[in-house]
Amino acid sequence: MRTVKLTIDGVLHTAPVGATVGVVLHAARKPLRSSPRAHQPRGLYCGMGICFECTVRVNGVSDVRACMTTVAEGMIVETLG
Amino acid sequence: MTDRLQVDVAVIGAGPAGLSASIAAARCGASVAVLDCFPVVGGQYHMQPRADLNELVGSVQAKDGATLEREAREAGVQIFTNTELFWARPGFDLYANRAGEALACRCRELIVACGAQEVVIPFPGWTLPGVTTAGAAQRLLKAGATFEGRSVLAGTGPFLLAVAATFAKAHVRLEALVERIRPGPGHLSLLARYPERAPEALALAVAARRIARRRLYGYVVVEALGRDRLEAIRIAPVDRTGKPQLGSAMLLDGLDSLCISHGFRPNVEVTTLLGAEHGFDPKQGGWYCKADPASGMTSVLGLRAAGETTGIAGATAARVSGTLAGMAAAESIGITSAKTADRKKSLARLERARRFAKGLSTIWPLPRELIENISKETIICRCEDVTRREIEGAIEDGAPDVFALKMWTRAGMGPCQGRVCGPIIANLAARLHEVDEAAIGLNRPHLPLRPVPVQVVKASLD
Repeated sequence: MRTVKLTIDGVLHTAPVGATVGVVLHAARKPLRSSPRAHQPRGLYCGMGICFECTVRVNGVSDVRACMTTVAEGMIVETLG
Repeated sequence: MTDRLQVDVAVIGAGPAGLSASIAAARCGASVAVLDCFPVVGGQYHMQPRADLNELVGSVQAKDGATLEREAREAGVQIFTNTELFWARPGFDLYANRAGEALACRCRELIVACGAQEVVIPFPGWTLPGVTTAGAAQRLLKAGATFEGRSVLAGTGPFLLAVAATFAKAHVRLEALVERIRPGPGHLSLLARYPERAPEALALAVAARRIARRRLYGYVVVEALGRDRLEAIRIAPVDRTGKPQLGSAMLLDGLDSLCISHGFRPNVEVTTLLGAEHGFDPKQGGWYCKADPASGMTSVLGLRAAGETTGIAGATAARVSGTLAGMAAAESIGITSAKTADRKKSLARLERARRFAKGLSTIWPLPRELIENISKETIICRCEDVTRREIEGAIEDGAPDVFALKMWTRAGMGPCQGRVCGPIIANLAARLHEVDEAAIGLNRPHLPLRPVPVQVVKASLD
């Protein structure tokens, strides 16, 4: 299986070609954000671009939905959590 | 740079309905563009996993998706992936965010085939990381997720079996399958009336049996527990009226994932935005866009809708209604299409598929008792952390409608814009006001439909 390397919050991860960033974050079990009032951890939820719970920064661009983004070699992903 | 496009027919959504509509219109000779927000066409049903991920690449659904894509390209359809609509104006002008670049499209005929989204019913702990929709689980599996640890698939509806089958194809075991409805004679009599559906139903049931260590019918999830992420769930048997019996609840511990689904509702954002008439029918998932089955025509001239947007009826109905809408769109701009005989046959197929879907929704209805039983402290709006108590407090203080509720409580004001919690809030408001859900109305879409960089909006409107 061909793979690509990417970093999530500075940690190196390997993912199969064609996977989404959501798949990598799901496997890494990282909370993706802290909710605004209750300050509870949140993670990927709808997986189809509707709920915006999996919003991350990718290569410096913010508000990217991990569930809709395909991994690429050298991608830099930062979570808001 | 803004891409400007002018076509006879534009289609929003490249799932079964949208691709079929595009192919039909293009084969008649119309110029067609189809816009889809995902990186690969096919929608959720025909989602094509990328090469060499897993066995799901070879699934019938993925292969059919690839065939539809090839047919669309051969017919000359312009396909725009990673292209998310953020505004539409009558006439029709479409504005989309194409991976950070603006795309503006003018068309004479517009076909909306935006599919469906999952019905969400909140319960304590549903916001914990590790709890996802069942649809999310299916997409993740198709995109290569391995679901390490112990997973439970729960909720209600035939889609649960489809997701269980996806787990089976990906060779990922399920700790349990928890379904609210017990198998009964209704299941068999429906299949007896629609024997063409029996092989698929049987295959799904066999796959679910093989992949789920335990199958608990007549149970619902009443709580998800965990500190920073999901660790356990409590499930309870339901009584004859569908109410969970909390006294008999049991704990499923040591869990990593809970994937939950309560069925689907039509995605009507674009048709609502353009002012089409909508109807409300719980058997079709709630609010749906009214459309003539033979042509997809809505109450707005030139605006057509196809597939789940017109009421939940599944992939077969989506494909057929897409084809009919595509042919009618081409015809209305002066391009004559296929013979009437074909159309009659298609209409009959569509009606049959819709009747089957209604049969399914009779067996697996929307679990309204679960909405009734949501505790006061449960978060309803997960974007803004708004509880049922706060929402009902605002209603009792006089918030007259969903819009006022949003202003008072911030529920539905976060990044999802009420796409997740909107129907539940409407349902709670209807209960307190003691009116029909239909009277509460739809969550009105606002510009932009989806968050979009300001420079993209500016560029598209210049």
